[in-house]
This record gives sequence, C-alpha cells and structure tokens, in this order.
Amino acid sequence: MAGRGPAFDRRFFELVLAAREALPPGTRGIVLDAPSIPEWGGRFLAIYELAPIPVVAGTARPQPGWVTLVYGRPWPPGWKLLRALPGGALLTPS
Amino acid sequence: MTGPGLWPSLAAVAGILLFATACGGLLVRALLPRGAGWRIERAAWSVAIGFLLLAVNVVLCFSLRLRPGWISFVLISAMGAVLAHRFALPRTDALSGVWRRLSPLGWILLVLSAGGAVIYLLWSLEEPLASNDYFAIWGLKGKSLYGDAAIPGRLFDWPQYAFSNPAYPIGLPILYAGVAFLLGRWDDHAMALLFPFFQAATLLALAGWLKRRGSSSTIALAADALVASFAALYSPVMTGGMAEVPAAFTFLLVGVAFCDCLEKTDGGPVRRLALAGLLAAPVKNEGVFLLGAAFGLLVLWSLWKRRKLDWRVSAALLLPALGSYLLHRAVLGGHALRAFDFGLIWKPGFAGLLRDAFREAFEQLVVPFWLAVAALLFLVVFAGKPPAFGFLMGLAGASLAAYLVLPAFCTLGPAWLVHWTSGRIISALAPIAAAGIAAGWGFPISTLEKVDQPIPPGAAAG
Repeated sequence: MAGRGPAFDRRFFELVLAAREALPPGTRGIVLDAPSIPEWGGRFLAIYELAPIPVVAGTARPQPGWVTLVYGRPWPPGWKLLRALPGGALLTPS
Repeated sequence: MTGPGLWPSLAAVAGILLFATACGGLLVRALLPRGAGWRIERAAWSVAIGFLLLAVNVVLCFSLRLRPGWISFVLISAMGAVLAHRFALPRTDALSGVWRRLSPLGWILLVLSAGGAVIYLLWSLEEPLASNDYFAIWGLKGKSLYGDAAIPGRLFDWPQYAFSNPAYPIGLPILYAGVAFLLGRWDDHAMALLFPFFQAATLLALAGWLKRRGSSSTIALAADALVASFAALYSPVMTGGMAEVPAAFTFLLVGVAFCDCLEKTDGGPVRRLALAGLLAAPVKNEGVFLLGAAFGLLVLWSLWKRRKLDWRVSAALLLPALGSYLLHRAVLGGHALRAFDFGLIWKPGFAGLLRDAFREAFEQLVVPFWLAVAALLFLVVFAGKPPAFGFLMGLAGASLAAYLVLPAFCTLGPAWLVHWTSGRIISALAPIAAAGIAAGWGFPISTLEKVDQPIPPGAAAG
C-alpha cells in the first residue's frame, strides 16, 4: 500500500491486507461490507488489492464458497467468525 | 503480492521490456527498411513490436488454454522473426534522416528532452501505479487476467463490476498481464516502468520521423523537448497506470505511418500503418475513432487528388479498427459506454448541452492555460503547410473536435466529463500534434529535395 494514500482510513486498508493473508483456502469470492468507505480511492482500491478473487461490495448474503469481510460495524449475530482481524472480521453464514 | 524487493523487480521488468524490444528489433525489418537514416525510428518501432509480442503471447496462449510464459513468448517471437525475414523490406537510404553534428541549440534541446525523460522516469518509479482509474479499470483487469490466467468473465458480465467500464478495450490490461506472466508475479510498482518506456519510444519515433522526413535536427529535438516536458501527459499523478500515455504513442505511430502512406515515402508505410492500427485500436476507443478519422481524411484526399481510393491503406486503417471492435463484442460482449447517452442528440435540449460542453472546456481547459494555448495557436497558424502538416493536424483536429463534443452526451453532465477526462485525453494528442506542427515548421516544400542530398564526410550513421 506504500504510496497509495489510504491515509483517510488507514485501519480499513490494514484490514484489507490482513484479510488477503487470512482468507480460507479455496475462497471463491468476498462480500465487502464496508459502507463507510467511498468507492473512489477506497472500495476500488480494496477490490484491486484483493483481485483476482471476486469482490462484491454490499451486505448480500455470500454464496457458497464466499466469505464476508466486514468493517466498521459490529457483525450480525448468528454468523460464524472465521477470523477476527484488526478493525473487522471475516465471516461466513452459520 | 510479495516479491524479491523493488530494485530486483525493477531490474527484472526492465530486462523483460528490453528483451521484448530486442525481439521487436528482429521483426522491424518487415516494417522499416535498413539503411541510413532509419535507426532511431527502427528503435521506436521495435518497442512497439515488442509490446505487441507481449500482448500476442497472452492472447494466443489464452485462446489455446495455455498459461503464457517465456517458452511461448520466445516461440512467438521466433516465428515472427522468420516471417519478418521472409518479408523484409529492401535496403533504402533516407539520407535526410542522418544526424549530423548538433548545433549548440541542438545540444540544449537534446539535454532538455533527455531531462524530461529522466524526470518522468524518476517520478514514475517513486511509487506504485496508484491512480483511481488504474485501480478501478486498467490495473484491476490486468491483475485479474494474470491471476485467472484467462479473461475473467465477471469483469464484463457482472453488474457489480460495471464500474470497471467493460466497454473499454483491454489492450493495456493484456500488456500488463503479458509483463506479469514473464515476471512470474504481479508487481505494480515495477510495472510503472512501462510508462517511461512508452515515453522514450514516443520521443524516438517523433524525432526520428521528423528528421527522416526532412526537418532539421533542431526542429526535431525542439518537438521532442516540448513533448518530453509536457507534464499534463507525462505525469504519474495525471495519467499513471492509465491508457493515455500508451495511446499517445500509438496515435503518433498511426499519424506518421498515415503520412508516409499518402506521400509514398518508402516500401513499408502500409505495413507500419496496419501495425500502428493494431496497437491503437485495442488501447482506447479513441484509437478506433482516430483510425476512422484517418479513413475519412483518406477519402477526402483521394477525391481532391482525383485518385482511386487506395484499398491497401483503407484496409490498414479499417481492419484493425473493425477487428478490435468486433472481437471485443464477440469475446467480451457488447457494452454501452457508461455515463454516455448518444440518444441525447435527438432531445430538444441538446444544443444547450453542447453549449455547456464548449463553455466548460473553455473555462476549465483554455482559460487557466491561455498562454500555452496562445503559443500553440501561433505555432499552428504561422507554420508552413506541407501535406504532412495537413494530415497530422487533420487527425489531431478531428479527435480534438470529438473530445470537445463528447461531454454533451455525458449523463453526469458536461462539467463532470470535462473535469475528469477531457483534459487527459486531449493531452494524448500532444505527440501527434507536435509532429504536425514541427512538420509545418521544419519540412522542406518538397521532401524529395533533402532525400537526394549526399552524406557529407564525417556524418554519423543514422
């Protein structure tokens, strides 16, 4: 991330980098639940960093093989925690 | 992605680009003749062919469901070299292209040109490719192509990826992937080296063509110095990782090859035009437009000269344009350009939108840079008017007119498009416009006058 100016919300990008390393093997896609992050300069950078894994921004329930990366708010009850990360978590529907 | 560190990665990418250029150098004999006066242009076209080989390696391997790599790249280059040997152009000397001793002013201009290139190189390597459009469009597609080792359908079919503009051609992402496959990893910091390569090739093509076609070294180097220091184009902040810098190079190649075709300078311009078209059309939709504009100029020129339309030149222009468009539709699907509605032309308020587009362009692009615009107008108005000036300025002018009208069709409003896009894409016309203006100031009345001059004793081989 050096030189890319994610300073407006550094914790989010630390979460993205941590999530990239923490994805369960065989992850087929990521639902990025980070509504506070703007598209330009934020969400698109995260989608780029996580490519080639497909990333869809929003709160949709992930398809089989996908995980949800949540940031900036408590994750919904009843979801299985795959990995707690700084500033957020990787989740899957239980 | 993790890698061995910046400096080894930079050295590796530089090695890949130089090797690709060397492979291009084996093929260039089919496009430009050997002989005095061609060396600088051959270097520029070798870079172009090398980049094309990197892209062809990806496309051919994907179509055969293979992973691109060194073996396929070397095989493709070797096959190309054999074909180029078979169809090599006969030796032709272009004595006007021989560089004689530079005047003091020539040296100053050479230093300015080299200085612009060095500054752009250092500026480009300061940080990874980092523009928003790079993340959302060009880099995302390139990284996905590399990561999937295939064309990822999601980028073109899923509505969630509509932000990455599926209607855009994917030549640049394919080139990114081509470098990454040879490097063995995705490294978007070392990849930034591509852009100074594009700039250097542009400067070589510009100066080499101007000199060969009869302009003085001083004029050729003045054009280079101006283009090299044109920070609206050669700035990682403005265009880093995006398609404008590659497009500017391909636009210039189309322009100079088009001039050579119409003025029948040698045996290879139609081939060069076809290759330039193959490079320009898949980089940006504006490249397809440029080829269409060139065809329009060709028709006008033929009517004016009462000649039959040259079918070879027509094919060299239209086949890459149509091929790129149709291939994109066939493989990736038909996509409307985002944020554009060309049906607006039939709406009653279109005249107002057009007025707004011109006003925004004037306020955002002319008023803040009025001195540069005035200097440009001076150079255009008082230039001589050899045919090459007309061809190149006709191409640049048609493109400029289209870029100025386009904001009227933007669904987000003309002000938005002018602010975010128009200046950037207009800046990509700088090299082709510089070639036209320099031709106006530097070309003799008849280019044949200089071609027949003998080489003076002590002249350096061109």
